[in-house]
Amino acid sequence: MAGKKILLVDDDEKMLRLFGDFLVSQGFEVVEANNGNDALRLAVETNPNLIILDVMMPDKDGGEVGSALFENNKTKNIPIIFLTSLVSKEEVARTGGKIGGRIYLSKSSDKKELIKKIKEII
Amino acid sequence: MNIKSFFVKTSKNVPNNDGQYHELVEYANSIILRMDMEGNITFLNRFAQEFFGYKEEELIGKNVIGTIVPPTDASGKDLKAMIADIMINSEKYINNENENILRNGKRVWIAWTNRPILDENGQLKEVLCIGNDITKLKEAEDQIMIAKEAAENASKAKSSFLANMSHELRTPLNAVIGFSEAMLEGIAGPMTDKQKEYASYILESGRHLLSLINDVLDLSKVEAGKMELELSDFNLQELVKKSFTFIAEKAMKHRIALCHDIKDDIGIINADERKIKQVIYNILSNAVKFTPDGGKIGANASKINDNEIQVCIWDTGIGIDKKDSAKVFAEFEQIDSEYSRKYAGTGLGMPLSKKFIELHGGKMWFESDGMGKGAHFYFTIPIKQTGKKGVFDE
Repeated sequence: MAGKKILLVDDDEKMLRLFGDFLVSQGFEVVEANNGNDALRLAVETNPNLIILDVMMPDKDGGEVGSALFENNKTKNIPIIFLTSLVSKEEVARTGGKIGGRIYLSKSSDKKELIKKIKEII
Repeated sequence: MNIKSFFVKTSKNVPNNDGQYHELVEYANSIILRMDMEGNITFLNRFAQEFFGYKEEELIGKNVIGTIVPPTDASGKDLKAMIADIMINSEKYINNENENILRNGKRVWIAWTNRPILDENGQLKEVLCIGNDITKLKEAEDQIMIAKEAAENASKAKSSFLANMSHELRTPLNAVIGFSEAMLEGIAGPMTDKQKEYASYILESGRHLLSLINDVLDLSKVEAGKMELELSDFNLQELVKKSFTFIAEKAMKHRIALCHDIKDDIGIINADERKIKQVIYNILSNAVKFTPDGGKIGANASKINDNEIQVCIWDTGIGIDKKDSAKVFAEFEQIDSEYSRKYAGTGLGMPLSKKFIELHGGKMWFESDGMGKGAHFYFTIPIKQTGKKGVFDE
């Protein structure tokens, strides 16, 4: 895990703290952004190995940030995991954790599930 | 009666000269008029005169546009163009509904039958129009459309409310669950045993609340007709066996014996596995909750016909009193007894389970001989879902 960098995006500071501290405890380097515009800027500046993106955010939502990242040559190859409280982990299980080919997880999912997904990607 | 005598007989009742025909037309309870190729009125019966509020001489020779037909209808449709089109494509207008206008300015809707009258060369000469007032019908139709639109908007509002609520309710809970979990994992450093105990209560209560929220949202989805079945093939026998492991620990603690007798011929069914699992789990967790120490819980399942399986989950628990039987599947109801406080629950498990079974086209019910006599919960489920996938979505 050492040296792997994750950009964590969530408008809720508590969620940044929760997931940020957890990812650090797992040995990742974590860059945090609490809005979509900062996320786009930091994605270019820090070139992370993975972006974990909240779906429901004011201003720019996760979907918009995701497509903006995809449209930029510098960031289009960075994998994204969408993290949302919009669905329960049961609903995620029903759709196999993918919508439109994109990986997503419920915020109420087990942390082990998150680590498993991260390890599959990076 | 042969055909000939039929004609002879009926012909007696039909006007036999122009005078009688004329009378029939004049006093018919319908609007009858003729117009020429330009849309000028050449004839209108008495009923039409009374209906539109004109005398005969006021309309004969006048164009329908500007008299009985407004140039455009209330929705802005060009009726002048429509009248012109009747003369060209008369076959399209044999049955036609359009707005008309009375002398006093009142707009009305009339269902017209428009018959082309041809000259000896087969050219359109006039159009015979027979009309009936359908204004009241149209108004009722409009009311229905308005009501339908309002209902659809309400349904949309409900859906977006649900989506918002699920987000708003889960967001703070994710922090409650997430941070207590993180503390117990030691991410925030070591804790004393007491601190661990308290944190575990926060976590447990948070998870309980989350499952309650999920149940409420599921139930609302079912009621809004938005719940879809995710069908797959799975082994029901395996699922029942696996479900018993959920309650195994608790059962052991209370010395409750578990036994299941599922016939081997059940095998694979096509249904929504997660929902069926939830149903079985709900029944089993109730069973273990309401069965005193030393009791028994069991399940059996068998094919009752070619396309249906019946599952029964039984216990030797406290049973259900006759007077409480209606409450079992009612939302937010828990049978009020000394047990309802002892056995905390959401009160949504059973109604939700019943709805899940019904979504599959099955039935769910229970039998109990009364207090202290245990309970048998039954459900039936089709082996295959014959309807389209994702039924019940409008």
